[in-house]
Amino acid sequence: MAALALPGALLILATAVMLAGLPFGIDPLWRVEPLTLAEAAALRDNGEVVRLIDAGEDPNKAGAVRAELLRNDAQIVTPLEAAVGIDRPDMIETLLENGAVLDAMTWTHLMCFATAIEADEAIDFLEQRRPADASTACEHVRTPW
Amino acid sequence: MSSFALTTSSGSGNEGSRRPSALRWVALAAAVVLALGVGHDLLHMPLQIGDSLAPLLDAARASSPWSEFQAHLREDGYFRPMRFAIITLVSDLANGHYFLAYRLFHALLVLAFLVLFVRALEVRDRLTLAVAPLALTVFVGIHTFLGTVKEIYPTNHFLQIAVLALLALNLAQSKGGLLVDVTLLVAFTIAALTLESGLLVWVVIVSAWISGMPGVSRRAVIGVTALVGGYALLRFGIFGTGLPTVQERSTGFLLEALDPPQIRERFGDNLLPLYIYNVASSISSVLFSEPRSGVWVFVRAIRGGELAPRHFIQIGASLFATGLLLTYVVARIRSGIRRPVTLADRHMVIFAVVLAASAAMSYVYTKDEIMSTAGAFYALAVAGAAVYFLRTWPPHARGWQATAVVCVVCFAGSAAWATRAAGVHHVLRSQAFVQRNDWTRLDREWNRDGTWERYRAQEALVRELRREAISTRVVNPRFEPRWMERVFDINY
Repeated sequence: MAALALPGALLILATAVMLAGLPFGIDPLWRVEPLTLAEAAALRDNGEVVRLIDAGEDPNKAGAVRAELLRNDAQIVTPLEAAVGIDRPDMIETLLENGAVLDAMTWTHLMCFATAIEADEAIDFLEQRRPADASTACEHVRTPW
Repeated sequence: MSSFALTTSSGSGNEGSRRPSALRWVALAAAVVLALGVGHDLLHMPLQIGDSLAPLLDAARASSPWSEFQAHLREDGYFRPMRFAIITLVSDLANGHYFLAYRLFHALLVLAFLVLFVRALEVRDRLTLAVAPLALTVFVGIHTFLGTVKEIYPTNHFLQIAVLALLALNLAQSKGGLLVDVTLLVAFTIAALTLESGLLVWVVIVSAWISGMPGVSRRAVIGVTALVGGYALLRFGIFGTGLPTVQERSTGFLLEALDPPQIRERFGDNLLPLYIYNVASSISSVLFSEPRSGVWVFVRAIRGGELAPRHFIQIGASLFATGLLLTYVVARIRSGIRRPVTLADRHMVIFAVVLAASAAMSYVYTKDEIMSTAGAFYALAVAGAAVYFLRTWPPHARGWQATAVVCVVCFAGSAAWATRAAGVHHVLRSQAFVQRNDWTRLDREWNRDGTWERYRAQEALVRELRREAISTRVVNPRFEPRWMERVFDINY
């Protein structure tokens, strides 16, 4: 009898304990990790990107990305760099729709970066958004990695 | 509830020292705890865009539930006027707080679903109470339950049907009477006008009556059967709704999902093999957790080298529970039982009929959600079989080795179901992440496909819903422990 009952009873007990913690702000099931805007972009979290921008974050400002999220070591990158770093045109588009600026200098910088890491989908997307005066010369461009 | 003739044993059903009502309250409390856990998840889920936002906006601008009901009487393939009337009713009650109103409605339905399930178990002795945790984890853990919670429609119509079917069962287990008869008729009417699978309420009522449940009178059966006739007349005769065709949506077949052109290409004009496949795979899905919405994900995982513990947990859990059912059926037949005698017998009969009927309704396309009512009745049948097994297993007469093996199998099977039930939270977190992200693409996609033209007048409401969805805090899957993705079910 115990063999049949125990696992389910433990789950019910654990759920009860979890519910009891909610009034005290303890919510193990929905523990949301705070992210920087660059981290949200690196983690394909479009919703968090838009939420942070709506809350006043600057989509053009570089921010910290913890180690293991983009690369083995921690990075300081702009949200657009993070989006190119994971080769996600959808994220680049979300950032542009929400205030990120893609001027000629930024475009060249991102294009060189995308080319260096072979982010093919990002390259295709950036090609379509190329400002008229943007250069493709990468000799003096310093990419995040 | 009913007399002792409905207990899982043919005995007094009064074993154990605690009072039956106290035991029943303990089981109900367990159900409420699980329902609150899932309800808590639901309040974190952003509204869904696909299949959800358009009906919500239509409801917000509708003049009344009745006008929406009338507006959806004539549609090709689907006859669901009550679904839109209920969406509008909740919208009217929301007073502008749409997210809260729809999610609360959903959470209350989940609570009703679990409470009605435990009530149908008729917990009145220690053995049934001991099986209740297993029953609850089968109920919540089976993949068909997921469809009732992860799809954040304005109102989840699959869940509504499953709740009404369990309500009908509870009424069938009561002492009956005029009020019960009338409630059965009302429950059927609401269900049938909400979704095609609402006809399952009629299936439950008739099979409960055939199996000898005391709450269903001949009068109720005649009445509800007459309503089925009226439904057919309305649907096919007056409104010419017809039936869904394979052109409506995609369906799983073997290792992939086929869209309508692919179905035509594969089957041509002879769709009978597809229909047979859909019915058979729907039955297999409930009994063995494979295929999922028609797709054999276990085989696909083997071929793709992507086998994970979750595949074994799901199939192992189902083999355990379905094995219990088969053992029960064989044992009852061997002991000379030819008609339902106990509550467990009756639940088994009703489950078998509901399973067959649900599968038959899936003939055009198969979806786990369509089988959610059958999944609920599966859990009831498993509970009855488990209680029977505990009553009839005499460990002292079998030797310690056999007892040890049985204990290990029972523990492993029960643990597998508890794992599946715990995984519901994981699936809902994943779904919440996807749904919130979808809102960020709304403008882009509606501009592209022209949907904005239709809803331009409601732009302010769309913006408010978007703001509400975006501001919902959800868990990024990157911060979920890696083992969860391998152990718990995923969002197919």
